[in-house]
Amino acid sequence: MESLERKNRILASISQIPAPTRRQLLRRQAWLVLAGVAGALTLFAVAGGLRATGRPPSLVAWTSLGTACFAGTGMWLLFTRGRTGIRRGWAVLVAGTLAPVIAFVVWRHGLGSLYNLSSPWPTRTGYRCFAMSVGTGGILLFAALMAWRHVDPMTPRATGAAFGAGAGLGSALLIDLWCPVSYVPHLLIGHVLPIAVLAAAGAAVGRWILGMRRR
Amino acid sequence: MASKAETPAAPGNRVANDAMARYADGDESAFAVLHDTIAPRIEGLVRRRTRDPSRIDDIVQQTFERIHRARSTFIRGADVLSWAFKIAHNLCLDFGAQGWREYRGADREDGPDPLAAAVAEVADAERVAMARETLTRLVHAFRRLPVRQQLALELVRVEGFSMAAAAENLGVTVASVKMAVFRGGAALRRAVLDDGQPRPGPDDEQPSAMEKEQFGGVT
Repeated sequence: MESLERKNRILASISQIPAPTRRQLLRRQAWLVLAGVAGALTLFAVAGGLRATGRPPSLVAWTSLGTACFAGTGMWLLFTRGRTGIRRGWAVLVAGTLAPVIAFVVWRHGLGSLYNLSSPWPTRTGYRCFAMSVGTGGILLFAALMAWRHVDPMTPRATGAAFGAGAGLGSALLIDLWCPVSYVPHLLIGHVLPIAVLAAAGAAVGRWILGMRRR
Repeated sequence: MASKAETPAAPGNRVANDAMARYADGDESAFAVLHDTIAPRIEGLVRRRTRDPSRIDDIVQQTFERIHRARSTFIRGADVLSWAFKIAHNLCLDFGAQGWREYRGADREDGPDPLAAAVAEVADAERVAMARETLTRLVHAFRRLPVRQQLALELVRVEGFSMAAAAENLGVTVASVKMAVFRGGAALRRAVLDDGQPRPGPDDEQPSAMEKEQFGGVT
């Protein structure tokens, strides 16, 4: 009797709560993610777009290819969920961020060394790359947060952090086409630090934007 | 022999998964089916996790409300029970009810006393006393286990989750769940069998052939 009462209460309650269907959510996500990618590409184009700046085309192609593979793998781990529909655990999320980042730095610096282009570049500390990364990644993160807003019932902070790191990896791919510097301190400040900043920002706002408010 | 992870979903789970998939696609009538199939198990989980009976109904209701609001994110083919358990577990944490319900024997005020029900089937007074002592020992031993071992044992041994599903639910590796289930089970066994004689510790204990098969040698 008590459970029947509760069932009726639950049915009455959910009839008052709007909830998108899968198709509606997919449509919303597709539009917002496309808008985010378009926004990031626009910012990238306004800032100068693809710039070889003394790099041979083969170096640009190889570094970009490697970065695309590392970032793609990381983004797949960070943006997708397991078979049960639950976000991957913190250990996997951290590994899914750190492994591509380390691979990217090693790859970029290694290839730069092969072409004798990894020497210190004192005039380029990495602040411009940092600002550009945070700008493009921030647009991607904002789009992802809006696309998934208030639909994460379990781990909004982890999801926000994953989205931030994923957006940071996505922006690293664009910045890789833009920046010729392969000097490690520059890579750490201009290319890696933004990923950590975006992940922290995603975790910080995830609870409010992605989480469900208690009724 | 097929592992638990490869075993097809139980019939009840299949009904629930199908109902959830239809509900996510917008079939509003599927919610009642979903509710009827999984509500008793969610209530059981919440009942075991909270010390305050007045919160059980609240948490169960909020779990279903969250399932409703997040229906669009449900992955087709996923196990809805595992998903719902994770939501309910997080709500229990939100409500500050992460502690395991204290066993209070016959003076429980809410619902039927499981100990009374268990011993009612035992006619012999001596066996009643033994059953009561064993159960008390078991409950106390269970409550002394680390939280991860409690959760792993509950999902795998009580709810029948596969090791992989439990690992995903707890956000840890499969090996970690196997370890937790094995160590927790060994500790409970020791507590029940303890007759005052010294027993080997968890690190000294060798797994049986059956355990080796079940845990794939990860012990």
